Amino acid sequence: MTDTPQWFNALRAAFEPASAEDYGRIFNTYWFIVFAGITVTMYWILRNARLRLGFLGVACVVFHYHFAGPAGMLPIIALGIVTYLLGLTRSRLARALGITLSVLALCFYKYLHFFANDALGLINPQWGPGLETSAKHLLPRLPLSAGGLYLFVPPLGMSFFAFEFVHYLYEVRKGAAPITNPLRFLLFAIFFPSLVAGPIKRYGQFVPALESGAQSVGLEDVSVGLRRIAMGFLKKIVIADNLTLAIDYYVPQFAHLALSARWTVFLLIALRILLDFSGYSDIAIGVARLLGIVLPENFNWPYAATSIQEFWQRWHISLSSWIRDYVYIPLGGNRHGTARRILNGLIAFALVGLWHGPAWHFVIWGLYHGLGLALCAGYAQLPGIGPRLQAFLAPRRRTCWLATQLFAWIGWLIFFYPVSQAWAMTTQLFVR
Amino acid sequence: MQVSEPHRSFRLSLPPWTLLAGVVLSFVTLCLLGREVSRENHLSHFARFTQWTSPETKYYPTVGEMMSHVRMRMKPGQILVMVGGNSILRGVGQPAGSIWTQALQDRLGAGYCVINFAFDSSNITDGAAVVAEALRNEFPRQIYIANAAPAQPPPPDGSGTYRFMFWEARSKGLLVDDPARNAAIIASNQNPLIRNPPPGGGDSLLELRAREWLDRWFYFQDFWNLVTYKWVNTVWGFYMPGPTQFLQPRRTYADPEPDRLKYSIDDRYIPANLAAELVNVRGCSEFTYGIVDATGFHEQKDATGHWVLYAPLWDQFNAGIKGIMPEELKKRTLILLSRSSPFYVRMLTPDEQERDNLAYLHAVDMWKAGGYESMDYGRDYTIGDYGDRTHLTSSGGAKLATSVAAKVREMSRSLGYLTP
Repeated sequence: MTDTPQWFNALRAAFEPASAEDYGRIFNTYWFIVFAGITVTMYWILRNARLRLGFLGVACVVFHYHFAGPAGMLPIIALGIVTYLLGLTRSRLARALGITLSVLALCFYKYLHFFANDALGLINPQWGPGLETSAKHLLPRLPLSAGGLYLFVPPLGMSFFAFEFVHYLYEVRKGAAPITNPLRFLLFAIFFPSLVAGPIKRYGQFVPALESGAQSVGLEDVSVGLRRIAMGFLKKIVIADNLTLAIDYYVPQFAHLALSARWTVFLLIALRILLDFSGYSDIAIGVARLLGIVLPENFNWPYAATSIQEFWQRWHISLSSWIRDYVYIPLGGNRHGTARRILNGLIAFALVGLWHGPAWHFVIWGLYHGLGLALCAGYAQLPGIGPRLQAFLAPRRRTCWLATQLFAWIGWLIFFYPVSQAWAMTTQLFVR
Repeated sequence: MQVSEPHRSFRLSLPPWTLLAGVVLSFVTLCLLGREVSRENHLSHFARFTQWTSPETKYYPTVGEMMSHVRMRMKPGQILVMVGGNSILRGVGQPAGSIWTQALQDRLGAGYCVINFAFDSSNITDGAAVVAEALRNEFPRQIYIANAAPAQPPPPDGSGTYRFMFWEARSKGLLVDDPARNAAIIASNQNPLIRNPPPGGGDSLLELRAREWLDRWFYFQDFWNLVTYKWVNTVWGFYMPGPTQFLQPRRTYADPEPDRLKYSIDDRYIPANLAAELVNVRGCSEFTYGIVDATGFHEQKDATGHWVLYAPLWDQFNAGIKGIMPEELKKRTLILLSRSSPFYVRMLTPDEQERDNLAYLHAVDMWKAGGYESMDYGRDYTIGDYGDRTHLTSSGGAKLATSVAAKVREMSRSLGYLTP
């Protein structure tokens, strides 16, 4: 079709940015399958650990460029270089500034529109658009297309980058050893299997796992990785994607469904998010394992939890433990009395909600869980009824399970739909 | 931090080598099965593609299965009449048993084999065109029919949702390596909206090519189509009959097309849509004889008050249709220009009606000048021949079949398909 050699066309294609539609389904694009196949094969063919890591670094850059494009990649490169260099300094202040920079970058790229229009706009609708436009013009235009392109493109996986960089600088500031090797830092920053949907890595575990994998990837890793990937695709493509279509079909007619059908849709919504998200995590963990690299778990049978605390120890583990370690505990955790503990919990969970997206219903979903957690942790201390309720619930694990899951699943309605619709759907579960 | 030791449910007692050997063996077996079924016709009782066998419900017919179907249908000595195009030629508005292509088959007789591979919102260069081209050596006596609106050149590698067929055939080496088309594809794909369509507009070109490159070796599309068609449907779709019935194999679903001949006039020409439909009808010719911009329509007429073609558009059209098909296939291609229902056309001013008529006639001339055969239809049809603004009822379909049959016979003669 062209005069250029096939290998050149293939290479050029690998560097081409993906379409907007592909961002949302990275692991089930054909590009990813070809890319992962080539990357894993090459990684295995190379027998030297340094070469393997070097090759993996190149592959991660190709992956990031393909899905994020130049405008999405540049802010991450800038933030990554700053984080890396600040990690090497001895100045605690500089590291604190680095943490602030990551948080500001996250707020700017992911939450500016929300803060300007949905939060500030509540006070004065005129302020929001003005603030947003002014903030966008702070950044230079990039001569990347005929019309020029703003740097203001939300970088792919911005939340993951920001959280991992904050974690890194926080730990280094506390005295942990920084990553001195730039290649290892690059791999920590843009390791392709966990780039888009986590799990959120901790460098103290990731870097040793990376080195161990490059030195001793074996058949056992491939075996475990393949099974994990197969399970992930089964959950994500075969079940969750079908459920998504069915749910999108039935939710608009929710009020007109029979009561049993409403409950079925309600359960499917809960099942869908678990299978979708944990399927994605399974694929990420499985692909990393094909490279011999062990990533942290993100899910551990959350729908088996019998309390809200337990639910959050099982659901999106890497996020909840990050929020615990870098928000809840630094805020004071449970060290300053009940009122402060509840407030800290609410702040932490509002952030958990906001992490999922810049919208009020995510914040409300977070606060809903924060309140649930506060109630769950403190109901036994309620005067009068508390001890009796505790004595009633303690031996009744099934009741606790049912209450916990009902709470969590109703939460998904708030998570997915506007609050008024979520409320209407919840009430429709209990009336004919 | 917990590490990703496999869950308890993952812990099978298989040694890694055994598992890997099993994975490889299963994969190879499925690929071989896919390759085998791509050579087999599984489209039973086929009259046309329906909602259940089209991308609307996530069924992506492969070129392989369509080619197999043609091979099964074609009898020795027959001339292949392959019908492509959009929902109008698919026969929307005509129930199963009264599809215009069935009427065409009746009129043409046993010497011809009419196959309807049209899809909704599909274009001249989509599925049927690809299959006909892929079978050009096997069935050289063929006529390809598709439809178009005036002055709209189709993309050379298929449109939107249906581009996968072109790239499947191309990756499997089934198409003519035509330099003019190759150049047109490169030019067309410079358009970022075609290269990377917006959500809902089909896969990006890169994704398509990756998919078809993989399928060239693994034949997964053929395999899963057979599974979903014959044994168990694997994908939920908006049109599926229910939460559990969707698992039924697709071959069990009836063709759901209603008979619009039974619709009342108000159901065919919905009063609430009148203004929007008139905009569409005017739009068919407005931009061919003037400039439509934000300030409105600026007509082009000469000193005597006659309509003057908007030359830049037609130049673009002429250039556009040059590279969409290899030269040797153009002359066996019949492009139908589908006119709008007289229900709406009669509501235009006499001046607009004249412009509308001229646009269709000129489009026919332009297609012919480009090396294709072409004809328009619908000018003498009645309101009852249409099920809505564009789709025909079975009575309209019968009229179309009559005029197309005559044209097909004429083409067969001129192409030397008929022995004296």
